[in-house]
Amino acid sequence: MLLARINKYVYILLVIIIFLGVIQGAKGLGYWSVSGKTNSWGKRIELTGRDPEEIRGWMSLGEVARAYNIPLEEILAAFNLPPDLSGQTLLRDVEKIVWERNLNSNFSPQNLREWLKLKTRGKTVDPD
Amino acid sequence: MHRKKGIRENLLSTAWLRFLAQAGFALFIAFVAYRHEVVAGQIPTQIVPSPEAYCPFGGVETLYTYITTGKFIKRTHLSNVVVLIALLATTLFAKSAFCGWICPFGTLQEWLRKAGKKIGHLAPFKSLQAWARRRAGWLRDLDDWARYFKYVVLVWILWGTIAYGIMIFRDYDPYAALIRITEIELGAAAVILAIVLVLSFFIDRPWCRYACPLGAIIGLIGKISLVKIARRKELCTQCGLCNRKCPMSIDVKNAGIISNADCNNCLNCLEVCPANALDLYLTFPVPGPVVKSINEGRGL
Repeated sequence: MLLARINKYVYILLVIIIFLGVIQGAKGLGYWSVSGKTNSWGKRIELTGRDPEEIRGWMSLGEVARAYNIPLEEILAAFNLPPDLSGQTLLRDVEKIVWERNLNSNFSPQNLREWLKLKTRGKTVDPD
Repeated sequence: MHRKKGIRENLLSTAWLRFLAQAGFALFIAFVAYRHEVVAGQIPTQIVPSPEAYCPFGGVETLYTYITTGKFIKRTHLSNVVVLIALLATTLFAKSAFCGWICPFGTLQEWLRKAGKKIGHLAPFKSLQAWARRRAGWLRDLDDWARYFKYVVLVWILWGTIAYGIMIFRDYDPYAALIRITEIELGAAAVILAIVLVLSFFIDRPWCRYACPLGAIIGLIGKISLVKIARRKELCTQCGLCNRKCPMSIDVKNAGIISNADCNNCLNCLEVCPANALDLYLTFPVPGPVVKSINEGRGL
């Protein structure tokens, strides 16, 4: 049923306001995240060092080492990685390096998680 | 004879305002895509969102997983759900205004069509037009039936995404291929993108018409939107300009309330109507048969 005529400029304005308004409103309420790397307030997700499942491929070796209080050298040695590998190397890039240099390593973020789970339980295991 | 429009009239025309809105949203997505490619490549530790994070269809794909588990399927985020909610709110108010005023992929197709019209006088295109004119009836039937294909696409995606918990459509999605153009691989999505872009020179918004799953959702929800275009029969001169200017080939000149799911509320028909017989109306959200009876009863 037709109720009232709407001015086309009002209509255009309302379309833009409703669309952007919902988005800005959600942002204002902290209900917004454009990346798995940030929380809903847009802050970078930091490792807590409590649950290895929180580790992601975009995190660096150094971040993991610091959060779990394990020397970087120990992680590198455990996975047979080159000892000169920088702590800033992202986990997903470590996989690439292993493949490109044909290294004898089974490194993957998942294997790192499993290794850390056992390590944080007080056991030291060979990742192989 | 038509009066030549002044500068003020041109600047306030819906065509110009729509161009500004479309260009604004398209530039925003292009900027996000550029930043994602360039900045993310140079500084790997920097968090640079992907343009996919702003796609409402990502929200459709992840919604079931988000509601049932609180998590998102891979490559989707909270932003996708929020943009989907924004789109639904816009649709409930203004029908398919998202398609006509905001969607960057619709914009690209529309601009390619304009380019296509400019080169339409060239010999190969003329012969193509002549071929299409000879088969007008058959092509119209094909067009009518092909429009239902987008609902098939939608059902397939919803089923697949819920069953497997992944974005099954991403490998076929021309928009996803477009916003990742620098890392494009020759796969199904790239081929579909190429087909859509080529077809856009000859057909108005081919992806929107025949295959867009988001358009399918918008079209269905838009049936109960608050604002609709309606034609006042007593003012209409049946000149047919509205039909000619409609990018979705809707029969506006014989309609009452335009409830067609394919209408993207571009307002072209309002703009060109010399008798001001078309206008926007606040309506009660009523189903199709009721709209029909209203149209007949009120002489719309």
